[in-house]
Amino acid sequence: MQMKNLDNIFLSRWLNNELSEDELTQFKASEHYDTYVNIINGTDKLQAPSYNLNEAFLSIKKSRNAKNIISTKAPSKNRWQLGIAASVILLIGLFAYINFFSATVYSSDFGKQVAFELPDGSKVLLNSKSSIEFNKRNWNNNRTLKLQGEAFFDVEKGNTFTVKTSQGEVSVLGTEFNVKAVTDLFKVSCYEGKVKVEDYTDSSIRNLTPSLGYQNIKNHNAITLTFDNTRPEWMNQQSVFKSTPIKYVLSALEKQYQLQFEYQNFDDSVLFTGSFPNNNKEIALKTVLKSVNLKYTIKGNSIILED
Amino acid sequence: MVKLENAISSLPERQREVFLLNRIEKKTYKEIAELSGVSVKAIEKLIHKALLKLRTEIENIP
Repeated sequence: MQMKNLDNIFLSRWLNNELSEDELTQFKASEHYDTYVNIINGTDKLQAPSYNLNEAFLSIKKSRNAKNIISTKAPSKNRWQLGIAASVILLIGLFAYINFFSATVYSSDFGKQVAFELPDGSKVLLNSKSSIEFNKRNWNNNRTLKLQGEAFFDVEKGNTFTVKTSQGEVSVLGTEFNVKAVTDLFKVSCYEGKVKVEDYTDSSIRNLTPSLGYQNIKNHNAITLTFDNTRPEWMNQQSVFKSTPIKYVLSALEKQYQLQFEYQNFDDSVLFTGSFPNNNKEIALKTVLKSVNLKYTIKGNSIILED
Repeated sequence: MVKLENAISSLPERQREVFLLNRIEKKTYKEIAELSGVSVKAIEKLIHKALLKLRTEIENIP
C-alpha cells in the first residue's frame, strides 16, 4: 500500500505523536504498521547498551566540531581499540576491587618460616605451618590481624596493634612480641615495650613487660613465664617448651618436619620441659622422645610410638 | 529480540546513534539536534530513515 499523503519524516512524527488523525488511520492501515510497532516496543525494552550510547556520544561530539556534519562518519577503525581499552579498564577496576576488599593472607608450610612487612612497616616472622590474615585497607587506622599458629612481631609505633587468635587477643602500641595460638594452647612472650593479653577462655586481661610471658594450656593452670632470650627460640632454629604437655611438643614436631605420630596407649599429657632443633629431624626426634622414655619406629613420614 | 538488535547494529552509524539516543536515552529530537549541531528536521529525517531501514531488515530476515 502506497502512502502518498505521508511525507518523508512521518515515521519520526509518528514516534512523537505528531501525526494527524487521518495520517494515523492511514498509517495503521498500512501493511508495515505492526512491524514498526514491534520495532519500537522491542527497542524500548532493550536495556541501554552503554557501549552504543558512549559511541554515539563520542561521535556526536566529534561531528559537532566538523563542518560537513551529515557526511561525517565516525572512524570505525578505532572501535576495536576502544573495546580493548574498555576491557583493560574493567579488568583493572575488578582487580583493584578484589584487592581492596579481600583480606591478605600469608601462610607458611611445614618446616618453613615466612617473613613479611605489614603496610605500616611492622615486621612479622611466621613460624612453620602458621598463617596470618589482615586487611590492607585502612590498615594504619585499624591494625588488627588474625593469627593461626605462631608468629613474632616487631611493631612500629602507631595506633593499637591487635593480634586476634581463636583463644585470645594481644594488643600493643609498639613493641616486639611472640604469639603462639594452636589448638588448646595460647602463649604470648613480650620482648620489648608493653603487651596487653586478653585470654578468651577465662576472660582475663594481663599486661606483660619485657622478659615476661603468658601461657594457657587447656586443662592446666595459666602460668606466667620468665625468660632471658631476646628473640623466640624458633627464630634461632630451636623450639623450646616449658611445662608443656607432650602432645603439643609432638604436634610442634609434626609441623616442623611434616610428620605424623601414631600411638595408642600413651599418656600424652606428660609435661615436657626442654627443646629440639628445627633443622635436624633425627636429633629432634631423639631429644624429645628419649627424654620421655619412648621407643619409636620411623615409617616414611609416620612415627609409630611403642608403649 | 536478537533479530532486532542485529537490525539496529546494521544501521548506518548516524541513524543508529540518533535512533538510540531517542529511544533509549529518551532524548527529544530537539535535544539530539542541539547535541549534534544540526536542525530538528535533519534528526527527523534520520529517525524516519532508521525506522524504514529497520523495518526492511526485519521483514527480509526469515
